[in-house]
Amino acid sequence: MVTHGALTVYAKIKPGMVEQLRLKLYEIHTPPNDIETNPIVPFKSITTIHFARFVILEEAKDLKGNTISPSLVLSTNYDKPLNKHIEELAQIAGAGLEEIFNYCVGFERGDDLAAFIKKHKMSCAAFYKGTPYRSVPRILREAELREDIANYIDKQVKSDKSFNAHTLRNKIVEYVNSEKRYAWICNKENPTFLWKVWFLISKIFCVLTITPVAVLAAICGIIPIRIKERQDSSEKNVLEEEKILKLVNEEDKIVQNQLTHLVDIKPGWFRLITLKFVLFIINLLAIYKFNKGELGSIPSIHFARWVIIDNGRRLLFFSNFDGSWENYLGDFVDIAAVGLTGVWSNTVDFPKTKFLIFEGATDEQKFKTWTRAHQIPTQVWYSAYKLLSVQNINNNSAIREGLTGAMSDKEIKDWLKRF
Amino acid sequence: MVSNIEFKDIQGLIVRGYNELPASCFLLLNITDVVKARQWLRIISEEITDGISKPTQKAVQVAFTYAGIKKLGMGESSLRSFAREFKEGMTADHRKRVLGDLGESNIAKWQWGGPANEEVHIMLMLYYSLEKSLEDDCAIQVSKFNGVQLIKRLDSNLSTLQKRKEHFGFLDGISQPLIKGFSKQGDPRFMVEPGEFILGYGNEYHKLPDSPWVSGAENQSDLLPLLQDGGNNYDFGKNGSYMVFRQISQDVLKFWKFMDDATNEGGSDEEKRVKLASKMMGRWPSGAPLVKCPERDDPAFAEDNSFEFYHADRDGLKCPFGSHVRRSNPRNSKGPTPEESDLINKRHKILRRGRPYGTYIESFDPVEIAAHSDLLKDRGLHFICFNTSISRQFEFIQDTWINNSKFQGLYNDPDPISGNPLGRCKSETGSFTIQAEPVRERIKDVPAFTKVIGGAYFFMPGINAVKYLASIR
Ligand code: HEM
Repeated sequence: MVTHGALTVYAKIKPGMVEQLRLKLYEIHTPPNDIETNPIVPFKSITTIHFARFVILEEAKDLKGNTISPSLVLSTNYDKPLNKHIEELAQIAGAGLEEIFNYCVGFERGDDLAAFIKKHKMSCAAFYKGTPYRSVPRILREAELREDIANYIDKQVKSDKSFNAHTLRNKIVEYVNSEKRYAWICNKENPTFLWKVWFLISKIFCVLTITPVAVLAAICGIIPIRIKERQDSSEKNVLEEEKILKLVNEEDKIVQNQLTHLVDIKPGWFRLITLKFVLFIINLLAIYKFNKGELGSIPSIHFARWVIIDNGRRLLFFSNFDGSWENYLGDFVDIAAVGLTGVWSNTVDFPKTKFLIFEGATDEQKFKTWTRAHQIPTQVWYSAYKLLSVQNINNNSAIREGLTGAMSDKEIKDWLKRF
Repeated sequence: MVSNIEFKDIQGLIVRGYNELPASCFLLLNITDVVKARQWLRIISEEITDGISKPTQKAVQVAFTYAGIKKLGMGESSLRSFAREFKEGMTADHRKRVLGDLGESNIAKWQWGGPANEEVHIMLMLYYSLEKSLEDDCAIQVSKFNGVQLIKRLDSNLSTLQKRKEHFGFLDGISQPLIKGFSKQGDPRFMVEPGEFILGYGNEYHKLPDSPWVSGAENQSDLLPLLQDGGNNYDFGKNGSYMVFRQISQDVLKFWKFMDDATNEGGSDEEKRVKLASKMMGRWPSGAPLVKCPERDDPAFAEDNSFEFYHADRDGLKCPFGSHVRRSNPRNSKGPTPEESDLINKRHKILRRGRPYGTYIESFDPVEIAAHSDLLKDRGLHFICFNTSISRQFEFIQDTWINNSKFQGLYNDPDPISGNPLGRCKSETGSFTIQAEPVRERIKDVPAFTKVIGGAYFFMPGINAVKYLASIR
């Protein structure tokens, strides 16, 4: 069984080096290079990476007017364990990563790359995964398997008109079993029974301890929050056309898209604590509730993470999702407004909220404008399976599971619908 | 219910489709002399058909591209207040992936509106009851042109229109959103807020849609109302709407030949052919929805629009997930629950006002079609729709539903009628899956039967706003 991790490496860029670093990153995906095979970070060869990105956080001023110097963030969604992932990074892309981190404070050529990565690793405040327990090789294998069976069905249906659901499944199972290259289907890649029991116990423990705390926090927090909300100045989000163009020019090139979003957290300890608490709850929900491919009914998110950076001054959000920005943001507004408002109402310029979680994101135009205003360009972005949606990946696994064991007639009928 | 909608200021095409005026032509104009063009526009503005009149002889409408409004002299800051999609235009480089304007639909090959064509500024739309009056009056209109120059004339065709068929032979113009405050009312669950189609009214989020404005300093006339945001800007957008125009060419022979090849098992079979095409469309040629009569066409249901998918056809066994009608309006089948789906669906609606062009070949038989004397003439659809948010409505439908090969859990199935998977999936063809028991039928290598050969984003202002444009100095 494989679980997913979110690695966030945050490093300050050496003074005056931003532009050179930008050029280096540009080189990674610009012809004659391409993102998958380029000699700097040949992503396709790194088998533990689902999605990866490099982002430059430009020099900025915090709310007090202090300068935040520019930094580089490397993010990966990887197959655990972390050590093995970092080892693979160093082994396959060591030279390229050294070149890149050489532009960062605290790293000089020849330094220990793995140690640097570990030292600059930030923990996420919340992490959501849409395809749990699926390693990259597993996702690719299962996609191939599904396509092959689908072709087999096409042929079978043409040659024999008299089949029924039962005989068809038997034929498919027989076919797959006869192919040596599919020997892996019997491998156990899902959580074991023992693991499930442990998971259930921890879930119950969590619900029992967190619920009263959350209720108490809500009761204590509600009035100060309302007071603060009413004092919030109205939002002033201006869209810079040039930046928006930069963003959209990189969108809609493959089945998935990415979003990098960076915004100042409202001043004061109260907002920071509220934010941390909401993200803590979201993280638990992501672990215990939204663990079957949907984040609050949104079926299109592969990975999403929130990271609080710069000593609680800024909130960084990364996500990888299927389809367009418009669709993604629309889902946010239409289906998940409460959760998102709960998080981002603690950041500046967010559309007006009520009681932390209401209104806010439901103001569709303002919410979309706010999101674009704080979205930042991602210099390098990689997807290990650019033609697969979350729904595809999870459906492929269900197809694979249906190849072993006994099934009732109803189960067979439902299973065949998956093609 | 007394409606607060100012039909008198709204251009009539937004209110009605002018079925009684089947003869029409669209004139694409380029402004050559701004001062004269404004004078000409002032005269035209008196002729514009409003949303109250029910014309039986003639109707006139006018719409502008961003370049056109800029040319007419609107100020910088006011120009910025238009929607980004409109400002960038239909052919902005990144938009081709969203709209699928790649491959055969590549904007470089367009006949108008593309980067290689003359810049379109204004579209004058003329509708008549008789073809003869169209010819006569159109000539008069052209002779009156002053400061504007005709780039191209787009005609729509009577023979298809009178039967209300599009060129593949299917009844069109059946399903339209029902709008609150309009005369035609229906089930309140499906009534859509007017602000989805007309600026200045509440939308489906119970907010006023962002509307283009002119600053107080710039507004020398009393034609525009004050913007309802407390500031000193005037609402240029009020009673106007963004109009999407796409000329989509249809390859009728390719379409029916493909249907024939895919169903031809030891002999050509019209019934099978039509059934496959109907599976792709989601309605039969008569218009009858597949959900209501999955096995064969039944003209008794021709105009039926009272169907849903969630309860009647959750697994797509009657109307495939990938069919044009199901994906351009998934009704209650998109989740999370059917009720929420209905609600969310109302945020992705367009008001369609398109018309077919070119001569109609009335046949489902590729041999007959191939032999037709008019075969080589171009035919297709002048796709026209109105919305107040191009990105959330038209572009969303085109991208997230129509072009998207992953729609509703599918793998490689773009819309067989008007989809193009080149943007994200980089493939020229897609498959089409017909959900069935015990197992689906999958048709592979479905090519594109349509291609876009011209188009632009327009703004169709309220009548007073047109007068405002004419009054700019
Ligand atoms: C040549 C291309 C096209 C053809 C031949 C075509 C044909 C049709 C037909 C026959 C119908 C069913 C009649 C009806 O419900 O009114 C229909 C419905 C519809 N089409 Fe198209 N169409 C084309 C392009 C498009 C495009 C580009 C869009 C939008 C981006 C679109 C959006 C719709 C919508 C929203 C409906 C109504 C669905 C419903 O409410 O049930 N169509 N089309």
